[in-house]
Amino acid sequence: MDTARLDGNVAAGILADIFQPEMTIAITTCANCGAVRPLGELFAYVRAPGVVLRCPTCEAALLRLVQTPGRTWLDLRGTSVLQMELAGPEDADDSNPRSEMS
Amino acid sequence: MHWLVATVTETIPETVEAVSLALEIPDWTGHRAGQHVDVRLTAEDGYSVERSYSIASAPRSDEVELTVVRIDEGEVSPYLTTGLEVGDQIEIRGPIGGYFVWEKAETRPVLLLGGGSGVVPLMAMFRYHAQLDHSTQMRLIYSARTERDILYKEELTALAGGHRDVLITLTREPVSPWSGRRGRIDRDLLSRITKPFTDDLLCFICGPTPFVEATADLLIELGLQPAMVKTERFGPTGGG
Repeated sequence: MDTARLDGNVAAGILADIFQPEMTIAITTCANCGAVRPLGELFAYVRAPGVVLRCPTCEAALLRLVQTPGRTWLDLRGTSVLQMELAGPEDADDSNPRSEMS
Repeated sequence: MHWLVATVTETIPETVEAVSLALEIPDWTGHRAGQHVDVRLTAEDGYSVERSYSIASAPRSDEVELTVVRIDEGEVSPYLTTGLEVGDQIEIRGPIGGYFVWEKAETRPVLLLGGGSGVVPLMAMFRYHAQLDHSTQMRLIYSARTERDILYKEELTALAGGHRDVLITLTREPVSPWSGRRGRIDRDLLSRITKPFTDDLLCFICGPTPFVEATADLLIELGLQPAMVKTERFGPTGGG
């Protein structure tokens, strides 16, 4: 077993710098095998100059991200579809919309 | 998402290696049980390191509590566990994550499985469940190495009862007066616990990668739907 393997949750902070929606619940489609799952479930490898997220089904790389001071490179060619949940107009200014729900 | 300045309002020793830090963060919007924050430390020469730490406290609007376990060769945790005093400031980004989150609107019974410091985000869920006096069943199974490594031991006992219960199992406890369970979380234990539920049981598993993957595989073998088994892996570099 690869103990260096984490999951997509570990990339949430870096992705929050780029995307407005919460990305661990974004639904990814693997461009290689077609598997569909939340980004938080992808395998993550972070012991490298950047972050690589891989498909738990076929191990293809869905996302590669490298940061340097002031610049980010994002390679998404392994993701054929990325579905994101957008905040509705009534709570668009609320950065943590579900915290106030019933 | 912006970096925020957090001020340490309390440091609470949890075990020989772990400390909880209560942080006051102006403009904090509150968090959801299970979320984490990124902590950034910057040296005078500009070198900076970031690490993720789970929030241990139940959602509150004015404060968060993190529990940090010291990793001796780590770059961040030795400072957070021994170098911080009340009034010190650190940089925080968060709250982060929406996948590994338990909501109060949830109606399904919940099984929480924690290995080592993986119990921290589960503690936020357990505390929140108790604070709400929630009517769903919540069961925590916590695997620790030895009795002295158990986080929140007294509080867990105090919060258990009614719809909540706790089982602590020790994997490396030497001969001692410990009268609780010993050994890893195995198929037999999980089979007994999940039997009455399998259809609607929601599981959250957090811990080191081998713990998480072995436990998740067992639950799926026992008939749980993969979508009902939520995992968060702590890696060897994750908490340093």
